[in-house]
Amino acid sequence: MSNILLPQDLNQSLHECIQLLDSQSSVINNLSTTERVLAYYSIYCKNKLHVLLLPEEYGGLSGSFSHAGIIVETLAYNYYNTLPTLLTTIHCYELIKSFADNNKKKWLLNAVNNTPKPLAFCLTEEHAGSDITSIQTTAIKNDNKIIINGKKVIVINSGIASFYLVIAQSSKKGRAGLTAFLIPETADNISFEKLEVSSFLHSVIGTVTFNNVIIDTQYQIGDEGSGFFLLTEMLDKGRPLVAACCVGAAQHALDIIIDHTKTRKQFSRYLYDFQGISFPIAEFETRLHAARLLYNDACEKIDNNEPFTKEASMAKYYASRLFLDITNFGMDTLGYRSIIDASEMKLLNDFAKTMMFIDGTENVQKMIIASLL
Amino acid sequence: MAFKEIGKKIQIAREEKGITQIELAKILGITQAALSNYELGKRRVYFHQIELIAEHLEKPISYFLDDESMLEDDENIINDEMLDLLTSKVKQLNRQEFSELDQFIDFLLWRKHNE
Repeated sequence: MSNILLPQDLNQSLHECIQLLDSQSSVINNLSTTERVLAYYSIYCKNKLHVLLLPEEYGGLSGSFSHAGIIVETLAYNYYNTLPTLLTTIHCYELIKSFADNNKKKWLLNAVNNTPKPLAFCLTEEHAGSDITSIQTTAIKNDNKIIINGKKVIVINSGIASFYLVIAQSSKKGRAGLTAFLIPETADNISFEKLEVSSFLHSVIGTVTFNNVIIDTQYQIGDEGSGFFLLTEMLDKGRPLVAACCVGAAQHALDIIIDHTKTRKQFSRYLYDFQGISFPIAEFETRLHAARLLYNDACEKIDNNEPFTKEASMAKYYASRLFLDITNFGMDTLGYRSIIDASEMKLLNDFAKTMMFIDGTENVQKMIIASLL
Repeated sequence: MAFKEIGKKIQIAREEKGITQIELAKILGITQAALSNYELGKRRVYFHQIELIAEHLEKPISYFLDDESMLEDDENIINDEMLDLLTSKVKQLNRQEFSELDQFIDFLLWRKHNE
């Protein structure tokens, strides 16, 4: 765990949240996917962890990114599968907080805060993944209204969110035309299609289609054409938290491996007594420590208003790769136990594979790091 | 990466405005080295910084994001400064010399269209 200490109020929120999760998870896990996701999210809301980065004046906990990193890592240890919903919502709040005009920031944050539902971030399209300039969703201004048309895929919280943060092309094509909009779920002509993504056990993922959806111009965030800056900065800020999630879950996987290899005997010796087992574990423990330092460093840079893009990509690239490596090793080491349905290592391994491309693939992170050298 | 092109745009807009890196850096409250790194694309420009840059260089934010192939080839850029310089030279010519220059420009255009 990190050496950074949480302020008392944040520490209390975190521990009350974990107590609720521990006491209610066995009941919640028997619910349907949507009910499950909303039940877990309501526990986070009760403890205000969805607004942990918001200032108190907007109803938040005034936490820093460094604090958020520790909280996410701690929760990820046992509840990694519930975090995509929470992290997506935190990302969206951060974008509104950082980029909405001052005169409508309070109004927008009040609007999103007054609902018990999470937020959704609509970016990826069938032909626009890593290359966001290929986005085809359009936002056409007509008097005081904006008409949105397009289809977004792999949207976390699709169909259960109160608001959809959408990146669309406005007047121009390419980077210069990207603009961010917040679309209420109550707007007409939005449709959803659920996708089965088993690796994110406690998330609802799907497509969101906007077919002549009309919203008021007050739902535009930032100036027209500013979406590229908003988006890249939001993704940059999200990466250390995704890395923290990977570190917490990877620590859980490594602890399972250590426990198993210190209790299981083969050839009259504990597995851990074979250097072929204990040496990779020693390497993983070292890399976990490094991964934790990397995300802490990126979070501190954000908090101190220093350039953080390179460090954020390094943290995400390193932590997600390590998480996958540890769980792959876990699958090997636990043998048949790891392939049984609902085995914790299998769940962790599936989750790790998906985390590899959340907030940008490994190659995207390398591209960003290389561009800043 | 986009930030190299954005940096180039910042440089062009700054030069159009006729201010040095040191002057703009002072206005933005950053070091000249930091501004140089923005212009070279070696340092990421964040939203609050591009807002300030856009305001001081009197450009909309979208200006810095426009994709223009001409940015990839400096040799093809004829900016206002170069045109002003040429105009000041042309004004020193007499009628005969101006006519010869005009014919030479016609020849260059003919060659360009027939290449």
